[in-house]
Amino acid sequence: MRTFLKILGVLVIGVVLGLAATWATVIRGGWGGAVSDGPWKTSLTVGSSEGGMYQRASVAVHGLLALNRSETIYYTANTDSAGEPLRADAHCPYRIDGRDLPARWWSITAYGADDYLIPNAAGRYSVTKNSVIQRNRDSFVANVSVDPSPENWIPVTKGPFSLSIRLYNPDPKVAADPAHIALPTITSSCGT
Amino acid sequence: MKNWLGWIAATLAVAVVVHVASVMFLPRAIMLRTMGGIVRGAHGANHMVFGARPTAANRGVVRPSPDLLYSSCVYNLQRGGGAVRVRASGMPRTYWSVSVFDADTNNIFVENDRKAGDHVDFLIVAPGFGQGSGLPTVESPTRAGIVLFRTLIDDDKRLPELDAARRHASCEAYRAD
Repeated sequence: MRTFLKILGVLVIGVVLGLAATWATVIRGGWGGAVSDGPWKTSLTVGSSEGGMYQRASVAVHGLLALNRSETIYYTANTDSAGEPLRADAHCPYRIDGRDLPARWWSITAYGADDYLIPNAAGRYSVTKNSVIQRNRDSFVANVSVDPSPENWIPVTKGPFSLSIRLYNPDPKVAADPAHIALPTITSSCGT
Repeated sequence: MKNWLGWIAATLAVAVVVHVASVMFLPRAIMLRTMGGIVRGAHGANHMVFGARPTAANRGVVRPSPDLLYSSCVYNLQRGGGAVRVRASGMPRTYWSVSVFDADTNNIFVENDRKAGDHVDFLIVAPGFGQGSGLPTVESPTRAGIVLFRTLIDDDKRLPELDAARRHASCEAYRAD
């Protein structure tokens, strides 16, 4: 009886530890990626069989049906440019400063902690190559905030969120050197 | 003491096995769930379903793009007699792509409007399947998977036109004439 209980304990604790490790590395860990450009992270093996089991699982959880790098390169930011986790509140909007991105088409989209689009009354979720209002010489400023912003507004609700950049038909230089393509900066108005 | 070390080692061994197995199985499990949702929407495999523009209300696939229209189909080679034909014509003048994902989440094929123009026509087949149709083929390492058309909404005013045009895409069991 005592041996049986020990075996049962080994199985139960082992299963719990194993699943907890999966939760920590895959589910809580986010899509992530091996390459960083400021706060933006990506991986060039998304969607391909070259990706290891951890990346395959992370993409399945956080970005199922992602295209391979020949078609689209995805960058995700869970922090601002100072390294602080992205977290919206009514008093501290974020500012995204960037230039036209090197792709046929691009977008910047906000997602909630559940990886889905964030509900908002305006029905807005992104700023894109087609919709962005540029300032001068192909530069733009987008505002990520709870309260409405006059232009290039990406609404969020209070709480943690993340941002994704999609580069459809990216310039070859992106795949060649994904860590140095001058992606937008993300700055909290409250500083960090 | 030595006895306890043995139990601890056994516990860790179980944890490692469970962890590796769950990480390896997770993509397949998520794909199965997603394919089930598409099949329900399309009333069966090898039929296209044309999703509405993604909003915050969508809970089917994580991190959808709100700027794309998604048209999807679960291909099932077994139910398709060994091959499934994917075709589209009269696709709209905007970025669009068609991609194929096997049941392990691998993106095994993608083509966009730059290469395809306004039409595409190919077969998804099992490895070694001889069909003699002359159509381009995509070999799927798994018997089922997902075909996904993405159509860019480059201007909100064009949404009705784009929505109508992308419905020219189809996915069906292949029957050699």
